[in-house]
Amino acid sequence: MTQRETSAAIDDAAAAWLARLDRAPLIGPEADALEAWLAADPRRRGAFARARAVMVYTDRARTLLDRSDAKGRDGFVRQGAYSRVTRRGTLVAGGAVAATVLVGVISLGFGFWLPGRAYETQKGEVRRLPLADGSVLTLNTATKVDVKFSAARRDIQLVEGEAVFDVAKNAKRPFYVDSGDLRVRAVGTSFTVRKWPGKPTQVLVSEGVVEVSRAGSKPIRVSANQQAQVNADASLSSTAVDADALTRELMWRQGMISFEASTLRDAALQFSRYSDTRIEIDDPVVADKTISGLFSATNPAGFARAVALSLNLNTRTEGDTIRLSR
Amino acid sequence: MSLISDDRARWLARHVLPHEPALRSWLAGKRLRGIDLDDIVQETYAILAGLDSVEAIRNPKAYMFQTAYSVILAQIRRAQIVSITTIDDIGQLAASDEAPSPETEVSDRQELQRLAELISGLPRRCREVFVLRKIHGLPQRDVAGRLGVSEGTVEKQVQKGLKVLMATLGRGGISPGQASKAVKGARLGRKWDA
Repeated sequence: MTQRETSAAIDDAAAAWLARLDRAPLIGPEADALEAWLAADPRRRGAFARARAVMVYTDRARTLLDRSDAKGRDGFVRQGAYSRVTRRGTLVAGGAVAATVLVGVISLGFGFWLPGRAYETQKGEVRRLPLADGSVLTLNTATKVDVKFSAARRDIQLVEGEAVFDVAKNAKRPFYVDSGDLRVRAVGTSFTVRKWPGKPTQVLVSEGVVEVSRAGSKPIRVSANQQAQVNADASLSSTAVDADALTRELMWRQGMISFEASTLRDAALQFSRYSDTRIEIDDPVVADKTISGLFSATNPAGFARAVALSLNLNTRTEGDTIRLSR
Repeated sequence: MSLISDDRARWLARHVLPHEPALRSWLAGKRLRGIDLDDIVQETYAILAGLDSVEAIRNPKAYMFQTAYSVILAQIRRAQIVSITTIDDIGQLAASDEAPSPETEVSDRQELQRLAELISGLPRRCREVFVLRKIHGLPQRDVAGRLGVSEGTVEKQVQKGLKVLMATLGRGGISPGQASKAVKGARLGRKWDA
């Protein structure tokens, strides 16, 4: 009986093949050699598949440099098209959805509310909350919701924060989300409601159609790839939206924050929602610099390091504060 | 076709790889005799990679566990001698109340933190290559030009980094300082027979 190839040896060979494939596509005899290697043992195919998954997995840590800084001071040249394709792939892999609708409202309250079962997340926490009816809530950082289901209807109040609602279809049991003075009604769809301090409530619809209403306004139906808003005369209306930009808005479900040509000032504000570690930028020239990329939402230190590396800046840590400077 | 499509690789990365530590500890707890855990994991991936479609899989974690279970059964059938203990163990596995549910999804955030830690824990040259290749998305050729090393060196470092990640990602939490140790240690204690 011949010596059985160990799983460790197979893993090592799979890593070698992947590194080779990562360099350039295989052609001719090399491609044949890989096929032959894979065909000889299912464990090899498994190790190869796993190695590919690990390679894809690491793409999630990807950081992109801003186009405007493509030939920045560190001489780094961005690989535009390549990066975007791969990043797009990551987005698809994340199951992120296309369309989003934004609705701005003035907070007036939507009348009487009986308390239901409350769920909340801490700062930096993202929580998936499957409900008894088959719907799934995904709560972003520092979010509070009340869930109250009866036989006739499903009611949820978003008290604060942001949540994605993946609604299980049930025409006989409508699904309502109230937040501020805004009410969203869905039958079977996916949408996000966001209520951040000092900002108008936003509703981000990903799939299907929802009805958005508020006291004193005529309700409107909002479907995918549309944006709705509260106008100056308090009426509601909808417009088309850029699907890519809105996809980025939902990256937090993968624990990520996505920036596309955002200023460091805005990025620092975003990170403050997810972590007590604050990024401070005293120099307005630095604060106005823009970055693009995908970052771990709860790792402001990693973000600061990546930015410093990309834009040739210095980082200084003082307790819970990270300072970025030239 | 034994090469794996990009879509399937992404599906594995997103829905299977994050649950691998749970699968390993679940199976390791069963102390099945004469069965190699790494073999089971590789064969499980082979089956998942070879499926015609994964569209209908609503709970990938449970599906992965079921697949691993079927691999173990096949191994036991292949073996010459099957001990009573092994059969009992398998019975327990099948009846286990630890069966995964969609509610126990791995936190993506934790996974990403661990990934960042693993990359920062790589040896210096390997880390430089990995950051330029994977974080900045430079092709290997450009990484070589930027670091002033040969393309062959870059390929070797990608291979080395990938080996570290393969050895640690599926095996639960590893702190940065332990990453290099993990490469050496990952192969130890893998056999389940006492």
